[in-house]
Amino acid sequence: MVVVFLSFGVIALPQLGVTSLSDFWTVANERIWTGGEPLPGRVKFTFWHVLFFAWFCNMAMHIGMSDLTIFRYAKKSWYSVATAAGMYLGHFMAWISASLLYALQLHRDPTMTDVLPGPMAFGAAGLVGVICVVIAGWTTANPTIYRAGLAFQAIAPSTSRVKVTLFAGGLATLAGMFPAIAMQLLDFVALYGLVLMPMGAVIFIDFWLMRRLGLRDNYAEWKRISFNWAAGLAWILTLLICLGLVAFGGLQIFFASLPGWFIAAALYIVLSKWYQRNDFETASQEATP
Amino acid sequence: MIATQIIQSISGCKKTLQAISFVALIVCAAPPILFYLDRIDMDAMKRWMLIGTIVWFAVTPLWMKK
Repeated sequence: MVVVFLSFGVIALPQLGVTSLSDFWTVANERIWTGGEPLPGRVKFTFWHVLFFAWFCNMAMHIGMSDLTIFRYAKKSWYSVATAAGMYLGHFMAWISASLLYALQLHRDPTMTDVLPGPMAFGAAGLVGVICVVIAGWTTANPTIYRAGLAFQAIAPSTSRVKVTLFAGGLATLAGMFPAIAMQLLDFVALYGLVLMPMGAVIFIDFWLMRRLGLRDNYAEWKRISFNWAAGLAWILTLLICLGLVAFGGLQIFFASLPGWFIAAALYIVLSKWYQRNDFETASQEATP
Repeated sequence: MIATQIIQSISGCKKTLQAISFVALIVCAAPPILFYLDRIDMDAMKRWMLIGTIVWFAVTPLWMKK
């Protein structure tokens, strides 16, 4: 799949007029990354949008810690670097190749502005391109559908995980058949990444910093309570602040997550200090070696 | 049953299968470069990439560790 994604770029270049390295910069400016106005109803993506979105479009998995559902099976901690392969190859190389394919489509037919991965990939690499797009979608969706199945099962523990996972997959497939939904993916990914991001910050702080700060980690489990208000409030308040900045502060949703993570982390620490005030002394005594 | 035995015996030749997979990967990767260098046309490039892909998917699952 990686080879085919790379091939997309290599195939597109000569058709766009790049026959030597010296042609590249001129063609890149004039035919590939030309800027210009976005399609109606779309946000204009600048370099910064691409940079932030490349880092944060899978934020729900990496920063929101949804990856833990898969990595709980990892035999060694360094297996987590596998996410970097997905990030750097999937988000940078594949995006650059995809932009080359789209530039090629516009070069062939300037009126053809639809973003259709299947036809674009088929035009560049034939059946192999289509196979690559299908497998790329399949491998990306699999762990997400698995997570969705686990989430459904958490709501209704008596249900079969296989059945709820099939249900989640069927529902997502059905939704994906409607372009009105599928073409909103970019905004949706930014939103659901934002929704999960504060909980990732809570998990990070809880695991790495709570004891160093003299606070109790895994507080709900230790206290035998079903709801940790410090975590819950850090989550909700961060979302309200971020969505407020998006709605009223003019901040685009793609840029809300980075400051949001630090807000969530700070809120969780402050709220935990307040929430654990009666246990503070006990926890700090146990943390001291 | 026979099919399972065939797959098991084929899976025993791990190094040979890995070599075939590696060649398949080269057959996938090389045609776009040759196309860029104007050594082959687009139809030939697509054909060779498809052959490489089919061989890769047919052979690699036989040796890749589960």
